[in-house]
Amino acid sequence: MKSFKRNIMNRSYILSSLFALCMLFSMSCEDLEEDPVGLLSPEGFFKTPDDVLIGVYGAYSSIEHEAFWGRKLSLSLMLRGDMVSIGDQTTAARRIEIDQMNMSSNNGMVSAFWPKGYQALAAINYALEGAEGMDAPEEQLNPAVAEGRFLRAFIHFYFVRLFGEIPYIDAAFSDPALAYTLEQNPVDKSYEGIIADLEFAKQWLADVPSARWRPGKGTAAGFLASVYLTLGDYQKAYEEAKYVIDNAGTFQYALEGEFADLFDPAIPESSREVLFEVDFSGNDAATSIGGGNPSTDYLASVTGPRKDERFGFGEGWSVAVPTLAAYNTWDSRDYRKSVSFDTLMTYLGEDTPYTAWGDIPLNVSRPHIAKYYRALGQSGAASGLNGRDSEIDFPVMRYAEILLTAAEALNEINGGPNAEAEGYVNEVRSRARRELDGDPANDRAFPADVTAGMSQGNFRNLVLDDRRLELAFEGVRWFDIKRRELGVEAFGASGLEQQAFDPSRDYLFPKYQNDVDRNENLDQNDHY
Amino acid sequence: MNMNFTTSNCLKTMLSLALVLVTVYGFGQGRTITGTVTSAEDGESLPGVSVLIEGSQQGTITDMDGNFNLSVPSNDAVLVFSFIGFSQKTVTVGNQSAINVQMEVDIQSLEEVVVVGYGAVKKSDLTGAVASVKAEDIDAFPALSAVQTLQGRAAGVQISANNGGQPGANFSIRVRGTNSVNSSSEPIRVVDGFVGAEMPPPQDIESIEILKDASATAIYGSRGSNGVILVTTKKGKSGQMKVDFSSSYSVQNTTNKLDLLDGEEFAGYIQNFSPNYQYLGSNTDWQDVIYRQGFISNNQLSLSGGTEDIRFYISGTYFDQDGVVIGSDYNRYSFNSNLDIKATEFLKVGVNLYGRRSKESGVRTQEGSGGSGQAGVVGAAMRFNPDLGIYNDDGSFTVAQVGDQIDNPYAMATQYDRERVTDRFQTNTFAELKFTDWLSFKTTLGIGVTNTRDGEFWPTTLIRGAGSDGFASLNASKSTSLLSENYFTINKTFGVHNFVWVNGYSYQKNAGEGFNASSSGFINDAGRFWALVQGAEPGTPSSGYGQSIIKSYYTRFNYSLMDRYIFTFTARQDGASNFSKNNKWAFFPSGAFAWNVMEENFMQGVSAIDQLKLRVSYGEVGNQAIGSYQSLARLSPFNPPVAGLNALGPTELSNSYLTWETTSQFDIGADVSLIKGRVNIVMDYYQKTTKDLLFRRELPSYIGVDDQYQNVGSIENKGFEFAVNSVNLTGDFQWESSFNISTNRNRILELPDSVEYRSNGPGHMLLGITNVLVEGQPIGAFYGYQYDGIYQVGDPILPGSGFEQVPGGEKFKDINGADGEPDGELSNQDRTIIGDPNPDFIWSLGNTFKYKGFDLNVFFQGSHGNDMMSFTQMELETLSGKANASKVALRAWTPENPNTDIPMASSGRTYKVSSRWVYDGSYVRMKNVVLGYTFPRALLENVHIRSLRVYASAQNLFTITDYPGLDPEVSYRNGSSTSGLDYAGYPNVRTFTFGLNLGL
Repeated sequence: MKSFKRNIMNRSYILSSLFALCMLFSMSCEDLEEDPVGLLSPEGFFKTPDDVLIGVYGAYSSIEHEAFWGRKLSLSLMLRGDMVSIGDQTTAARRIEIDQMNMSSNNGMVSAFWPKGYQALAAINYALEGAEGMDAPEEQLNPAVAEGRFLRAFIHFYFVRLFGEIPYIDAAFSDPALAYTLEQNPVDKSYEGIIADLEFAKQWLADVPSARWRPGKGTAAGFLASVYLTLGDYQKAYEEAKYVIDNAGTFQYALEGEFADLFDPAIPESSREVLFEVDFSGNDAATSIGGGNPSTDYLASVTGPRKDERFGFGEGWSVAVPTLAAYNTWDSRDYRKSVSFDTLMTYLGEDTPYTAWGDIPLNVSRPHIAKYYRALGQSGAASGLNGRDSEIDFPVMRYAEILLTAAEALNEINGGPNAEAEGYVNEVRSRARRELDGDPANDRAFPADVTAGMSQGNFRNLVLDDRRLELAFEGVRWFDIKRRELGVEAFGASGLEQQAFDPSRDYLFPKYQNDVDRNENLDQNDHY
Repeated sequence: MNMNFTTSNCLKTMLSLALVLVTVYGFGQGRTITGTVTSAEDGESLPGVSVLIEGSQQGTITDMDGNFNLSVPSNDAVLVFSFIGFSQKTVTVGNQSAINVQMEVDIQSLEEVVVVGYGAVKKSDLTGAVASVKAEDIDAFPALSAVQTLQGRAAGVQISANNGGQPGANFSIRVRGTNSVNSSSEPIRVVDGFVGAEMPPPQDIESIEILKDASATAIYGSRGSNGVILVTTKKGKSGQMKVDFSSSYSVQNTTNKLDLLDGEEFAGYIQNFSPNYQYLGSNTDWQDVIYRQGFISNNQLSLSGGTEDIRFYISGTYFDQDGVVIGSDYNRYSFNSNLDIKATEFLKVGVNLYGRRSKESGVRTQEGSGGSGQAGVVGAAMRFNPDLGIYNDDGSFTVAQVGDQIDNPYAMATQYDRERVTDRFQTNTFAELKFTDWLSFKTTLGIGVTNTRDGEFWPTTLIRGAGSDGFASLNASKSTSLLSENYFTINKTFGVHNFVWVNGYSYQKNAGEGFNASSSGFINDAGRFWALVQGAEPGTPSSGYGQSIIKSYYTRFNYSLMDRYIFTFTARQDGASNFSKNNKWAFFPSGAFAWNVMEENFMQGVSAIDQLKLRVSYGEVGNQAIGSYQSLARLSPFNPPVAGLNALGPTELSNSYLTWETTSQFDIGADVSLIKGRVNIVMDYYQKTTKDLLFRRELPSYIGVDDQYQNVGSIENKGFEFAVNSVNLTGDFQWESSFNISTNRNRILELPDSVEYRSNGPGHMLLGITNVLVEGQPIGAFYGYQYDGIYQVGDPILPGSGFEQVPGGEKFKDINGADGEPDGELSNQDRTIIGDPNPDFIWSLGNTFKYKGFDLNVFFQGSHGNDMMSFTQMELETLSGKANASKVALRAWTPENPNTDIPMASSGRTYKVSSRWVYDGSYVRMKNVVLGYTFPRALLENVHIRSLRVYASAQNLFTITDYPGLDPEVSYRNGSSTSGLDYAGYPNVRTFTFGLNLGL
């Protein structure tokens, strides 16, 4: 019996050992290398110019994001200027701070659009790095690279004006260690990079891009003109503007006949006046990648009046509301005024003029911005509640601005206006008189052509004022105040908006404090 | 033939050994004595008790019913009854022919067996720091998870609810502090040897061991650094089949409510900012609207029993809970079975099967951001206009009229639809081969699958749903785990030398997959997430797969000399797929020594002390709890500029050197037993250093990628633990106490940038940085301004952009400037550490009283010296008109009422993280009190009932705390470095329970 048992024992020993060894080896063979399924690696992804474009499209995603042009940046620019102030006083303090020149170092608007802008830059830089050394014909590859470089300049241009000395990012980070000691870029160095990118873009972009949310040659030149105007290099600003004007036919630019059509989101084709726009798609939040915010704008929501019942999408929020002075000082004979301001809403079923809006909770007795909320409502284009997630196409730069830039630059170059400069202003004014809309019955007398032979100073002020009115609520005015250092005057007793403007501080926004905290070479702007 | 069974470290085998021995030698001459052996504690018959005639080798064992018969040589014979876990009893036969014996439970539990990784050891042979929690404590009150019942039961183990009394809420466990910042600080859970398995319901658990020091945890190598929770489930015992039924019913109520402005007060408050604001006519206490009486029913039926060769345990449990917030429900069905088969003398096999279905209907709480349309139920109940009712005149739900446009809490609770159904199935089989009396081999194969279906629906009655004509999503995910453990155990004794040597190989593969579909623009609200096709605009679908593999070789060598000097060496070599290719393998060794002082000759005369064991251990263990593919660079799809295009950008940077986080731990401790085992003391001091932290380092935002895993930084935890159990009174009136107290000091030793900032506030409040990680300070320190009261008229006002410059405004201290000195100006440089969420010490005290059939257990638990930061209080008392406010708004500063500590109402005031919102979170809580009655056995026998106990209990009966929020035991954002934060959590509950345990 013992031996029998021992046999079983021995056999079981062998069997179980074999069993264990089988398990060991069957599993040991699988090694520990990771082979991710369905994940894209930057190495080896970029193989063709089309792949580069996919990376560049990633940057547009950030630009259209709620945290950037969808609300945080566009609203900040409106509020910072002298034509718009807070309506609903219970709105978020981060907005009030921007309007009232009392920004905290951790302002909630900056903490949204600063990282979002850099996210766009990362997408661009990865794509551009992928393009380096790519075996593709120059004429196929360079337009894709040029589009990336245009967007890189675009973001840097906004940031250098808002924040001054910024981290200038023109390469893809693979080792984050370098970022912790990255030096902030002197402003002039940033502009050198911006100009180089725009020059390259101007060289390689198409004459006419496939859509106006994408840049063409003229877009790059237009932004060069704006950069030089900001830098006070009026000769070059003029040359770039002139380049756009001279090639308007080739680039398919012209003033829109009907001023209101510029803001009508229901018109499927972009206006020929648009050099660059942010093209929001209505009601696409649910289908967007990465949650609703990547595709949701709130331009109508934050500018529309509270409790308004005119449109199916419901009320606006009376956040960014023009100052009364901005409205009252605007000549009522100007057609653009009626396009720009919303003065009559429906409240409790009744037409209610703006003078009575103060009795409505959270509203104020001031006309509201019409270019987004009313334009969207009247067009019937797709949108979500409160007009969010709209079909609005935000004109970031349009041909009228190019004309006015040329006029302003010429005035500085020549010590006063010449006929050419006056002609550019008159071109814009003639459209304001509706002479370009093709219907003589609409033609108006106001605004009249400029008086020939004005002084340089008067003409300068006239052009700045025409920019203010023509481009009202389009994110241009604050940068005009800044580059012309008009802050004390604009926010002073005789200005359109009264705020305690501190010129030693308030021309710049505070940089994103989290980054300042992380990088000792990045200094917060003075007095924040 | 009995030679094969002479020694074993497994007590179950010793039991069979005794049985065999006695059977072999148990025949003799003389007259026959019969009798029954029962337990003095519960009167149950005891099978397998050894009955020996003193001074001889003759004897027998009791049968299934506790009966025995034995021939005795004479009336002088003395019978020795012995049974593991009971005191030995001797009876002189005399002229009796029937001897019925009641055996007393041995309170001197020195020979208790403690489960450790890959085996079990006698408590006296234990060299590591291990805490044991027994079934009676685990099952003390109705709980969804056994983790909840561990709270306060073991020194050095801190357990807290992640979301108050939310049905189905998880609990976080910290063993000896927080080791990690971004990787998990949760201990791994091992159920009957299955790493990562799900714990069965509390009633199915026999014991839980918590391995704390490196000596105990090093056998789990790369996963041991946060401690190990070993769960041993109930197994069948040979003998009569037992049927056990337990049932309890509980009612729950919120423990607390915040004192907010009513409708008219609110209107007056808002008129501070918007003078035209008019009282909207209602007066709604939203907390009353959303809170209700909660209800739990918890029922379990189990059958267990078997023969010597086949033993079984099967159970089914149904747990059903209606939460105290309307719309929150949870239920769970589960079954559990254990089958143990002794196939031959040398082969044992067993299988565990466990299945669970749970269904959770959730409400939105602890929202990461409560912006437009995003507020949760509790958050909205605090914030929402009290001057509005539930419905507008047209029957639609009201929405907030100040601040962020949010849904009313009732609408959020009743309209938002969230349903999560989880199915878990796990099986663990084992085969154990005994080759010789000293060599055995065990192999286990565990397979677990979890399937989760998670549906969400935002109907058009809510802001978010109205914006998209209804939004629904359905998410399905599956995770699978496969574990193969194979190990040899060598157990050999040479005279006074005893060796136990375990050698093994383990392979574990975890995989996860999932997909998500969504739709919006629905025809109507009827179909919820079951009608995605009815949405005009399908969302972008997503899917993903990930897997990780760990391969390990481990060894443990125990050597004991004369039961006096005990050495343990443990090592594990682990390879994990989820680290960089050059750094996948690591080695984790540990060593320990224990000295049973009382075994020394010179201590033999000391009678006051029964046992004194001194322990010391040192070792290294790891942590690898990060997901797969974390070291690889990645491009992810971005939303395209127009539909139909592809777009992408970088979302991860690569790290070629990512590897384990390693914790080295030193532990010195003592186990003392006094007064015949009536007082047992365990104390430990430990020091842990964790280096190469798996740190999710936030990158400067201008990189364009949010963060990256890096091995940077180190953390220290050191502390002292003391636990004492005592039997104060025996006899008719019994009184036992248990008390433990532990301290832990957590300190960051090293960080990559000396300082790391964290923004953990609710998104819509835009707080920026709330926490800081800084060298020399504990993890999770709060960071902000030092609040300095209110500016009064005439006070000098500190300039600074973003700071109030008017009387009545919030005043902060100027403590720093660009030169490191106060500069007369307020700026972000004036922020500093303003609180520490780590407690100075935590403790618990339990007392059990028994008299006749009655038992009373009173359990207190406390935490002291921990700070809390309440974003809820901040939102309610900043008084900037963005939400409702607490009653303090009524005594806000005005020029007419300057003598107050509440700043004036001001719309331009931003939420500022300051010491104003930091509170002492210390508390003492009556965690559980239970009064039970066990019916006498004699009474029950007539109706064929084995046992019956009825009880009533209360949990969280009262709490003593200065914390002004709802409850000090909360955890907003359940991360390692985010403790002590409070925002809009599910309220904690007070529970009253009635239950019975019936045995047949």
